[in-house]
Amino acid sequence: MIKVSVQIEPFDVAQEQAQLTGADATVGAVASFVGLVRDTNTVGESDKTDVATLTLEHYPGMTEQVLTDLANEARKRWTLNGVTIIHRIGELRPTDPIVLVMTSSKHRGDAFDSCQYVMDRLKTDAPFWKKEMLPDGSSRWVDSRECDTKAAERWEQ
Amino acid sequence: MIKVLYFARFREELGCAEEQLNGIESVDQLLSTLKARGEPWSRVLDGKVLCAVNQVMASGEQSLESGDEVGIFPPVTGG
Repeated sequence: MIKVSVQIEPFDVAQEQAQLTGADATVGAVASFVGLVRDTNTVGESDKTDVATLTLEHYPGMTEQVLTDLANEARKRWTLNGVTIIHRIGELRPTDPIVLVMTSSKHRGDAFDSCQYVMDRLKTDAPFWKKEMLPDGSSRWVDSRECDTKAAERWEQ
Repeated sequence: MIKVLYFARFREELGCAEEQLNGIESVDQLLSTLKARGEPWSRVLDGKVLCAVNQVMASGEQSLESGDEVGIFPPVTGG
């Protein structure tokens, strides 16, 4: 089973896990990653904890297709029972959950590795953009990070 | 006629979300045509620019046909 959702609403991890595994008694492992909004961003060389809200923009249509392709690619590389990818859009605040990647398999290795793979590739391939609003009313677009590119590249074969 | 969509920082700094263009045959030609408009196009599109053709990531050599949708955007920052 593959589930992909780009949504404004929050997600419930327990509910998603129940939906992902269902009554499938061959599943022995579920790995999940939840990304949260931080109040910190690096401006120049120092960290500043001044993010009031974060607004997520995306490319409707393309985003869902990229996430579905990533889930299918993960199923080719590992033996998986299911993959769930949920990414929130719109206005979020620090501590809000923003992204969920959950994979299920017979054994833990496939679940762990595929979960990390999907998350690493999502960071560099899925057309989302973050804009930070500061307490004084100004805003700035978040820059992409070199370490995310490196994290995604290590999965290239 | 192709449809060009701009996203995120590019959309804001160019003051343009969408336009239709004629006579464009490749992604590279599209980008050079846009940059030749001068400010702010030449500055905004000077750094790293990603392009998708019909919602699939594309390289500069990719050819374009009438009816194609080209998305132009900065490196992505989701997750």
